[in-house]
Amino acid sequence: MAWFLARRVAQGAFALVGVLTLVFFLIQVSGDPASFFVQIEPDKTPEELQAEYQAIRKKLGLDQPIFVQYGKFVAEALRGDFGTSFRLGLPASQAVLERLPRSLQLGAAAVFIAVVVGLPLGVFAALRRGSLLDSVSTAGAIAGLTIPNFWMALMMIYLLSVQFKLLPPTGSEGFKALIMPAVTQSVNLMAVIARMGRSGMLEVLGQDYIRTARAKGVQEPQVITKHALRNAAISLITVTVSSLPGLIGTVVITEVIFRWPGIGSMLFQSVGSRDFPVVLFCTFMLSAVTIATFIFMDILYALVDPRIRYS
Amino acid sequence: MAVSPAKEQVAEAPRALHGPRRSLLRTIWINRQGIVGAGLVLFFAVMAIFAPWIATDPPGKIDLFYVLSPPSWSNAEEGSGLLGTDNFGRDIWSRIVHGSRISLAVGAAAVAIGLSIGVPMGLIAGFEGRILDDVITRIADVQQSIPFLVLLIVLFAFLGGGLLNVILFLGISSWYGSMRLVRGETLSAKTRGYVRAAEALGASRIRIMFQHLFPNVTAPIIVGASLGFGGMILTEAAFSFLGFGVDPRTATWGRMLADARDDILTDFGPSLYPGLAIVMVVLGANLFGDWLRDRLDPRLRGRRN
Repeated sequence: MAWFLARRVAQGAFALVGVLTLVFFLIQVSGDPASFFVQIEPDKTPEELQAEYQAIRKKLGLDQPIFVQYGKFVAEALRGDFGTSFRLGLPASQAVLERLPRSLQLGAAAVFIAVVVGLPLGVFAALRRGSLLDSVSTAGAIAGLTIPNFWMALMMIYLLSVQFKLLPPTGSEGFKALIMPAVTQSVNLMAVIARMGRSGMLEVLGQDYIRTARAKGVQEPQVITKHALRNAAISLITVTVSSLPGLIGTVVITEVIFRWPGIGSMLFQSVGSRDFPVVLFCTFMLSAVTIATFIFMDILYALVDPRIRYS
Repeated sequence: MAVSPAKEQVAEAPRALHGPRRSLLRTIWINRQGIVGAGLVLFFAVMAIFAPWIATDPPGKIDLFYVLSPPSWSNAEEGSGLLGTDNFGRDIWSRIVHGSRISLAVGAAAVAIGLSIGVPMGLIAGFEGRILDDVITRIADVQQSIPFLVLLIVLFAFLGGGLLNVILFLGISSWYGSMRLVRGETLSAKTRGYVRAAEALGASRIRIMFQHLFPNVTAPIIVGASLGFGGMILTEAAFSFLGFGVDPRTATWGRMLADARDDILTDFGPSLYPGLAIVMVVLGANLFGDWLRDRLDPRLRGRRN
């Protein structure tokens, strides 16, 4: 187990370094941020503008050869210093970390909704196979995987904010503002969980040990939660984990639509304004969170399913 | 819906065979999922191919006299199009028709690129094993563990979008799916007799992989491709919505929704129709893919990521 974890962590670190290196060099080929910061005024001569441009390049460290810049970046990043945000004037890591709690809040709410709604839907659909509930839940799962969530967000804004004026269309203050972003963010995962929950339960319910449990007089709720659900859980965790990178990608979209002040909307803004230190740290954080969750889930597997032994 | 009709099929098949004659209606009913799915996709394919003839206006034609006019069916006012006009007075129906070209082209081409990387990689990893297998699956593991959409946003923002880049990046972002599928199939197929026979006859490894193994793993590939098609269309729309990807002046469904977003307080139509188009084509592809999976490969039934 320890050896397995060590390998996974090393692999994760490798992925992180790869992402950061790729983004770093992408930034280099994408154009020169210094030109964004030159104040163009009519009474300045071209020479003055040029001098100002060079001064900014020097200040940002852009005048050095690219590999020197990369080396410096790596050395400083290892100490947790990703540079100073061009736009905000404070350390990129600080600017991004200030927003991290809001993204985590949105993500946690979304996963919570997805599990609390999706799991019972899938389980009861399997228990009452062929019933109306089954049809509704299956159709809902297909809809959840088909409807683009940014469009669903627009439709919700129109219905709940414009027509019925129940919820604020954008913003981040208070519980009401969290509802629509969290629902938008949860839909895909909810559909996946309902679908996998249904097929996983159907598979497990046909097993011999379920019949044995029932035959020896175990109460039905116990059969379902202890015997069936626990065995179906492993495939549920798998699909949840494998949809995670996609979910973290859609965080950006959700946050942009609802103007939610998290890391996703910050990445969007900083990409637009060429605020490279922030772009780098945002990609670093989003990747690190994903990779860490993957490793965490590997541990969870072993806890849920005693048959799994890592070698 | 995805799983249960298939189960019915299995149960009903013998009865249908023993019956006097399997009627056409019955065949259609049993395969309704595939027919509806294929019909939806074909509808948009025809729309894309004949776009200039189906559209009533050029997609980029701006007419500021008819900004946000209602659909012609609700209001006989002259100048308003079939589905009304958007915030620049552009005809929504015509833009949807032309947008179908982008969506379908991106979906099909990105899937093709993903397959053309993933299938050979899967064959090699499954058949050659050892170091090659290790390297390929490790690369896939690493790529899968990073949030690729985030990386794509940075890629599009800094390298610029353009139709070709969108297709290329989306294709590359999805290669590991088909790689894993093909690798798994190859692993189980290579112990079978026909591979050993080909080996004994002195066939080269490349020949075994592409002539003997590949035809036997096509079924899951086709299923994966039709399910991946819908996913690609969704992703492209999301990027266009954010303003990345395909040139923002092009009429794409995602872009139309982004343009409509600011007017949602006053006018709902422009936000509605492009979304419906996306839902219809993706639903079509998913229904068709699910149906195909049930038909082609009973072992895969119920498994879906």
